[in-house]
Amino acid sequence: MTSIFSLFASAVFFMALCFSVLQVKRWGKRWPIAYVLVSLILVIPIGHWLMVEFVRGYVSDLSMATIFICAVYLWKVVRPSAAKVHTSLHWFIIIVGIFLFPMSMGLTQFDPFAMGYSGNDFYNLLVVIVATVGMLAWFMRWHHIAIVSMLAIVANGFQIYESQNLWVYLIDPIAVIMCLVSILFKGMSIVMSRYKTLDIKNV
Amino acid sequence: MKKYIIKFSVPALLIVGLLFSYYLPGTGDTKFYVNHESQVLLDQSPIFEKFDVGIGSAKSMHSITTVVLDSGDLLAAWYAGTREGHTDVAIYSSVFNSADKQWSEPKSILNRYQVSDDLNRYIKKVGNPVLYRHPSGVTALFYVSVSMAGWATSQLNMSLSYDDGQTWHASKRLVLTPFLNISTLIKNDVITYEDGTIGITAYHELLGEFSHIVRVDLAGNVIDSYRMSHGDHTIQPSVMVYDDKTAVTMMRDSSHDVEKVQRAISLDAGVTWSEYKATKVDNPNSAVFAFVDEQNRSWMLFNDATRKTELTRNNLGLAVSFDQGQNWETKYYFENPEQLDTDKGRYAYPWVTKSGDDIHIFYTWNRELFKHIHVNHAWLETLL
Repeated sequence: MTSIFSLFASAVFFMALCFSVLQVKRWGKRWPIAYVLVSLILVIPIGHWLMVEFVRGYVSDLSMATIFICAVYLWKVVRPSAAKVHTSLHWFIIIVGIFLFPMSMGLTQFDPFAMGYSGNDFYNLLVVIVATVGMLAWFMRWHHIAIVSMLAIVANGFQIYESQNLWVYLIDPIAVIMCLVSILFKGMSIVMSRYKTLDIKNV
Repeated sequence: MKKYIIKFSVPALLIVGLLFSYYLPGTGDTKFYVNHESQVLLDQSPIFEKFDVGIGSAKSMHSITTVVLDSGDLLAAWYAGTREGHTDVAIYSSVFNSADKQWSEPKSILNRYQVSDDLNRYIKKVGNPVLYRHPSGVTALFYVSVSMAGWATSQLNMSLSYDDGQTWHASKRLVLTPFLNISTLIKNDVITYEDGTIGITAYHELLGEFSHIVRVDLAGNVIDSYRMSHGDHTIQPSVMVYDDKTAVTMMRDSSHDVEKVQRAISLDAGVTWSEYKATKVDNPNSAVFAFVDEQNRSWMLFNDATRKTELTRNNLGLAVSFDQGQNWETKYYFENPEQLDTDKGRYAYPWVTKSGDDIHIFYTWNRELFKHIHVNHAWLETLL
């Protein structure tokens, strides 16, 4: 059962990646062709494995943050007027990533990743924090943070992956990279637009 | 009505998730399992026997691990193939008949295709098996698999056998890092907790190089993780358990400057560890294996060299400590006590299995075979 969820997540990620590379959002009404094409690629057997199994082998079990960002991207191809991922979610993921990854990779004796296992002394505190953040975000209208927190905590509660760690359901490096790239592009577009405004004034 | 459903759906699901997450199993009082049933016969005459293991399994072999079965026979596992990391590498096993004193023909028990089928994902190679015998009689096999790049991107897996290693159940992948679950490896013996859970002595090799205990149950559910060290040069922990709360870990030093075996101590059954310190024992970035005898003396197998010497693994020493691993005295060399400058052999990855009075020592011999040395406690006494 855990494999089904994980393979589905890998498929969503691969599809979003292909759509981004192929610039499917510019295909207009021909977007269904892209869906069919990438779906077929996902089940192409390469040696002993399907393409989606290759993807799963490389990216492991993807977090709810990554799945959510990819799903929103795929939905925007179908409905270009649909809302983008909110910047608050980007910052939320980056901040959580800064807290989690350096220490988990050995920077300190304290291992925040261990807090995500149910036997850890701080596990219950972490669960309450994630639920509280989700609840506050919902009522403060940061809906995307709330949805990702909710998906993570529900997925952890039902242990839909092989993992027994809450962090795995919440965040992964791919989500952090996507958020950093998004923030970077947003920053660049703001700078560019200011330059353009200055140019127009000078003219 | 619809508006209210939308408004409260996310908070409601958050509460559901919170409740389900909250009631996942935890741990009780953490204590090591200490077996008090083993018998040591010090009035026996010393035993020292040598055997070869693994011949014929493949061109290159490494990382042997063994457990004692209820019958008194030994079950061994190792990885072998054309060369380390090659896609044809498989995990092999063999059984030592304690009556006939003979090793059975090696047989392949796990390859990358079987692991791929079990885990539903692409697997490039397998390696580093570690066998473990649970007090309930179940045999567990921990091993690493790699989907991308080298060993530093390994993932840890677990498989169980209920028939003394004749057949193995489907593997389960253990999720142990937040970074795409890569870079958890295993080399040395696993410890047991009083509640029946298992402490895997794992280590991490990507960016940071450090050691930790991963606590799992027999179903392969990870319950907790305890960090033994941090930083970038303490790997392959070998844990010696002295009583239900005290343990010492000896760790391989992967740095280029210290080049000494590293040590840390825990007084709360491995949950927290002291800051690690270098011992006076040289270490050329090679694996060590430490164990405790029935008098609670500590012993360690190691390569007695530093990286400054040209041939770093052409000897294998046995040292003893009377102060829980702080100070060591080398007592014996299993390989090359006098030919350190000329022997180009590589004797590495030691492993020890104890069974009552018997001590079985194993190590890789030039990647061509494994040496199996059977001694008893009386033989150890002769070294003191």
